[in-house]
Amino acid sequence: MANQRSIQEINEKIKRGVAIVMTAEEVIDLVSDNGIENAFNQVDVVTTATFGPMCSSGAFLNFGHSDPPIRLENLSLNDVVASGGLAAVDTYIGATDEAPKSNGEYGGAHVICDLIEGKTIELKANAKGTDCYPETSVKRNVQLKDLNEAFLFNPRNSYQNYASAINLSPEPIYTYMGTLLPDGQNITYSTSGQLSPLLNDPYLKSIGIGTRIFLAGAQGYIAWNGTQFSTSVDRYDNGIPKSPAATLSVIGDLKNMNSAYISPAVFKNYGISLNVGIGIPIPIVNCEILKHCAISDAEIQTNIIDYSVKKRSKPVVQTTTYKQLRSGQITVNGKDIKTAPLSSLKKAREIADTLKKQIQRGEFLLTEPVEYFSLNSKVKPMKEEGTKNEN
Amino acid sequence: MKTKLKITFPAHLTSTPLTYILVKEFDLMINILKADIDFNHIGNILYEITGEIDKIDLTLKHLKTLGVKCELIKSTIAIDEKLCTDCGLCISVCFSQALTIGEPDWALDFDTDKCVGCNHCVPVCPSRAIYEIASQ
Repeated sequence: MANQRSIQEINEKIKRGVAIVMTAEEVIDLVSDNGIENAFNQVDVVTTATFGPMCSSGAFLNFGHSDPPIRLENLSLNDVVASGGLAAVDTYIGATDEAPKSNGEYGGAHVICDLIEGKTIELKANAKGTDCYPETSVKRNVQLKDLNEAFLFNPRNSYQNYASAINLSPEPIYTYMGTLLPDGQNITYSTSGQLSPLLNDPYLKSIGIGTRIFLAGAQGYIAWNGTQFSTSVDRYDNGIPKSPAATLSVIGDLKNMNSAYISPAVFKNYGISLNVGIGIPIPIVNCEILKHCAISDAEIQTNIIDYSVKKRSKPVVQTTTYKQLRSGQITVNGKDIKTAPLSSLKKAREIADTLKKQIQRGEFLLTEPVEYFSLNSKVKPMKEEGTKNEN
Repeated sequence: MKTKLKITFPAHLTSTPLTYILVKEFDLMINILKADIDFNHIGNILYEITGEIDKIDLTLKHLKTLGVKCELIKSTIAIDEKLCTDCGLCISVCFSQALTIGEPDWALDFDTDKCVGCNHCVPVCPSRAIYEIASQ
């Protein structure tokens, strides 16, 4: 049938090495030069990518049993506390936990990346000792290869249309968006814009539970919707949400990851985060999907938020486009203000290109989601004492 | 020639007008980028100097005879390219346009000539890729 193809057909082409794959930047020119209908016949897959700090990240680890066995109750990895709330020798280490004596310079993100780089990590644990698990303390030096399982599981990554940040107060503020200088002297922003995964599929028509993705160099999967998943938001005519909207929970094997695509990030007076590289292929199954992939930075609007307002809802100072943010300067209230990214477009391009080559070589097949995401999802604030939340 | 000159002077020279000497005797054009004196009365000054090569040479010799430690430096910071992710956050606090990022490749670019040695970028770099160059 014209202007329609299935994921199965695309995968057959990939296996035969004849699929046409383009990055979400390359496809913009293809569509503007040829129009949607003609372009549809010239592209099967579009690769999207992002590389930036994603605080809601962490890893599940299993150390294998000691002899006599112990249940790890209070444990640390290189002095970073990890969860002792799972059975026996499983743990979850969160990216943002800090080692107490590191002056905020070493945390869970560093432990995860040290493991990926093959470095030795010190596991220290104690327990009350039970009939099942009689041992009361262990101290071991372990590497990733010594662990049974080690997988990244990030509850909230790849935010759709994250807002950019300004500080209109007279004092500098230190945020996860970087150091924001007083009186609105700089603006920072954090997505790869026209290359960003969820901005290329704003209604999540191809991305869902079970979608195979590029995760920090490994083949990973979308495990679930991300936390604070919000799809029932106001949208522009092109489908781009007017405020931060969808998010993804992603999972992947640490043992296949590459430190070129995952690294610790330390933000002054804020704390630790994890730079995560994510690439998502979009199967061009119809013209509507392609139309969304062809949206360019000039058509992606985002809000500039005043981070100096210490409330949950921060005021929108101005709406801008990614084209303007990328230009390095924006006029706000009649003043030219410098803009700077905190997610790496260079890395995002490397990821989109790497994924493209993997698909072209037949090493990466596309998936149909096991389940699609709801488009009616709302985010609730934390419940206030003595009030009732709606729903 | 235009370069950066970093000097460290001992406590007994605290009240000697060193900058005046550099201007008056060696005909240097001077821009003081940074100056401080610590609790031990040891002072540091970072200059941007413009002058004839011979005169800069004589300046260094003269300062050394006075007991001033001095070195010509290109910049006060360096970037570890293995750690840098080319995110671009450092440019948000760089107002001398020494650090820039953009098309075509969105790779971080560092122009040492434009760096004024404020070092604001050092704590801002999330990858800890930018570090201060230690004095000799």
